[in-house]
Amino acid sequence: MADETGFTIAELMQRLAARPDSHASFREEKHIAALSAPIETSGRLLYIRPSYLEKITLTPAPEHLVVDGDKLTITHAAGQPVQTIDLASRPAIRALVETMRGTLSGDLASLERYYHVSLAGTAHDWQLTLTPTDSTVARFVREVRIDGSGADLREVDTEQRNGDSSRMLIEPIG
Amino acid sequence: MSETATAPKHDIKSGLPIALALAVALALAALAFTRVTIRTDMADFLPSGGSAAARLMIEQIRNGAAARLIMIGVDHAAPEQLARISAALRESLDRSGLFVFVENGAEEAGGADEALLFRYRYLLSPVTTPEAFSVPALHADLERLLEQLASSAAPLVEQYGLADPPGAFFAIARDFVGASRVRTRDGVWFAADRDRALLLLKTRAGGVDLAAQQRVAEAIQRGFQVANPGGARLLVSGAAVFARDAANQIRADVWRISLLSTAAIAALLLWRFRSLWVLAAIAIPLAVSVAIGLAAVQLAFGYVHGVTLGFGMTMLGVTVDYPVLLIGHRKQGEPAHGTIRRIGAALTLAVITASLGLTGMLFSGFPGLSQLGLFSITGILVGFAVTRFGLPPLIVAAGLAPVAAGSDSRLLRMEGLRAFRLWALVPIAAAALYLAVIGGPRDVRDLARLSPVPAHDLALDAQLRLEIGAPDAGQLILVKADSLQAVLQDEESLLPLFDHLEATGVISGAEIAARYLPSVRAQRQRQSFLPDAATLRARLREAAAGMPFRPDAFNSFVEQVEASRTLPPLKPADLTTPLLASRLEPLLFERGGAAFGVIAPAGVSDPPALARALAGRSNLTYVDVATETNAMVAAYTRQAWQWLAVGGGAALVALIAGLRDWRVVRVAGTVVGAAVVTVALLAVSRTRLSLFNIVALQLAIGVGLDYALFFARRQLDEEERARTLRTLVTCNAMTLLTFGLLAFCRTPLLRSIGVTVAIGVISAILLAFLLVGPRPAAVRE
Repeated sequence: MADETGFTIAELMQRLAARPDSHASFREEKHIAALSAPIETSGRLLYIRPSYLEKITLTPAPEHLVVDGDKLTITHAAGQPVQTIDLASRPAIRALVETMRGTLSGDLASLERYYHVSLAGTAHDWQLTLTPTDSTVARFVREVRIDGSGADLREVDTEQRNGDSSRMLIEPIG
Repeated sequence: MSETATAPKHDIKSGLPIALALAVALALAALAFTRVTIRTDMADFLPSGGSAAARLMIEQIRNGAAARLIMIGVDHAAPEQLARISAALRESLDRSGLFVFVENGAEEAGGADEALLFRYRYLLSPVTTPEAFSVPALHADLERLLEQLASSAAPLVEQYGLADPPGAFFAIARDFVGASRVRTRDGVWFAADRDRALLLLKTRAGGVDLAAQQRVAEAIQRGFQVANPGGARLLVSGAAVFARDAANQIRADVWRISLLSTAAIAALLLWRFRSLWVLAAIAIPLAVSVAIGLAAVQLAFGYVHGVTLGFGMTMLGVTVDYPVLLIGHRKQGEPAHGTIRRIGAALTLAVITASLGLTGMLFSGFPGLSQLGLFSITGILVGFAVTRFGLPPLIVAAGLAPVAAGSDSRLLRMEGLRAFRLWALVPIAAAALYLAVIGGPRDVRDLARLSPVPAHDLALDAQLRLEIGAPDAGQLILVKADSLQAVLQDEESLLPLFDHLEATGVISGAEIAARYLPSVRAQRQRQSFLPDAATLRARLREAAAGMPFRPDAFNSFVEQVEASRTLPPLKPADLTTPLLASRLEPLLFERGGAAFGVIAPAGVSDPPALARALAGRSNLTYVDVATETNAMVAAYTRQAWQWLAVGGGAALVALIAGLRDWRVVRVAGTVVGAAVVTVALLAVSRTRLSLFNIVALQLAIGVGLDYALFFARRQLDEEERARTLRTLVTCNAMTLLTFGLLAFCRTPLLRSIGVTVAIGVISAILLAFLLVGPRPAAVRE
């Protein structure tokens, strides 16, 4: 059991990095400036070390998003064209992907490329706060907060520069 | 003059007349070189095309906007390095002032394109219809937006979608992206599936202005070096690059081969005649031939093409034979008229027949070949005249004659082979039979085969073109009208047809100017479809009923539609942003008071169906560039064969008049036999014959005639027969040392000429020796 009062970023990253592949379900609430009501989506998340991330949205409309290395593909429904994005050519999207992937993999260096990282709480109940330092990311993102327990992520809150925000609740499966 | 049996004595004084004559001849040649206009524009050398449309098309392909595009790839380094090199290269090329634009995808440029398209989206996009702004259509758009906002594409939708619910901008952007698969990384273009930075340049100079393109190439190389490339690799391609590389390569090849063959020939002659003066004596007719040949071409055409000069100099290799034949047949100490009496008739006849044989080239219709023909014929006649009338006193004065090399009788034992000479008919018959079975020699039908561009360069070009999305032209449709706007209107009326062709799979797409830039009329019509702000706001309110959009969500959409109603329509001249300009320019241009649109269909699976669909429209012409140019090449090749036959006929008449007996059959049989064997061997090696092979064949036939006519001389003693054999072998070796060496060139064109001449002259000398010379028995009688 770690010392709960002096829980450090390094320790958190170590735990996250030691974790095997994760499989979870999510519910996300998006507040968009143009809309008077939030949009709710839900689905499943899958992360396989070191760089494979899958987000399957089931409701309200199916969407299958896969990040594998530098390649991001989005499929909406069977038979529809697959959209492929090269992350190397889209720094903004890459930063958003690295936010999630860097946290899941416990890769502090990757997070610190874009953010100032700060940690509060204990190993059982921690809050990681990411504040953009990279100008590209700062154009879109004001702040990202990730709450978790042990090596599990529980909640990801994103506040965008344009006033939009989203809140994703994560529930591990198995 | 004292004389020994083995080695003639030479001193400086005896060679003085030769030295003086050489000085005069070289001065003449130098004078000719400074006085003629030499052009290197390849457009002058190539045929200009049969029909008016084909001419315009070919001119456009050669020198139009597409011909001035240069594609650059930089790879073999880390992506960050490549991006840095790309940026540095762009900056230095921009500064050079040689380019209309230098594009590497850097943000400002792409941004300018995008801003223009976005601003004019409702005028440019086919999405703008009266229905698109109706309540039901807007309702469907908003439902789609809502769905997209729930997806991971939400940021994109917020950026573009809310300001453009009908999706006019995405419809244009899709069209513009077209075949381009370029991606942006670190702010510059990269190939889609490899780490290769890409740049697109357009030169100010025309694509076939070789001198200017040379400066462009140097600027690119310098820019790359200055960018500290490290281990990175620079790839440059484009029509202009090919033209320049081809010219440089041919020049380098010819230069290298000339040096090599001059050295080899000098060594051969030195061994044969043991005198440097022989070299000087041979150079005299050659230099005068060049001088007069150049003057003749300049007078007839007003300029001399660089290629004519290059090939012509090689072609005059035949004239080098004449002084060798003269000196080679001279007995030690013989007065001039003695040698002339023995060989004069044969030499004269050889020259007449060779010149008549070359007349075919003169009338080939290929401007470059006509020049080459005139240059060669003039050169041969002048070379002969100088050899026949100028050289004899000089060589007598210098005491030039062959050195007896070995015993004549031993050499003449080879004549015993003539006992089996009927066997020589076997290869000729076999060759003729083979050609008959395969239905004659295969002519080149494909202009690409004449192209001196190596296959891997063409592959690189196709790759860069695909990666960068630069236009290519295989089939073209030419729309002609009085003005650019009329062209655009005509093209607009064709759009439904092309959509249909695409839907039915006849084509996979088409680059059409009107698709990128609608006519002013169409843009004004679209403006009339746009509702005013109050109407649009009311319709949006109705369309959004029951949806969670805030009232102000579509403010920018309403404002921009309102602004679009009064925008001045875009005209071709307004499209100055780099990507749009480079896309549109090859597709739309004015020439000689008329305006033209070029429609470039892609992936044509069924050309006849396309041709049928377009038939009967008077304002447009369908040109399959490959078919058109190939038909042109086929026509010229056919003509070349015909002129070869005509030249051959004229030469035969000259032969009959000159020989007046059965020897005509042997001489003609020898050269025709050699030609048949050569063509058959080329066919066996799967060489398709181009115009240039046919020209080379003519040269081989001309040289073969020399051999046959010299063997055909009558009542020769052993000594003379041995001299003839040695001299002809020397001549043959010289020809092989010039043309045989061409076979080792990198340039396919030169290689193919070299192989043809080499096979031709080897078969000619063997056949001439066996078939034309007297049999040993006949000699003894």
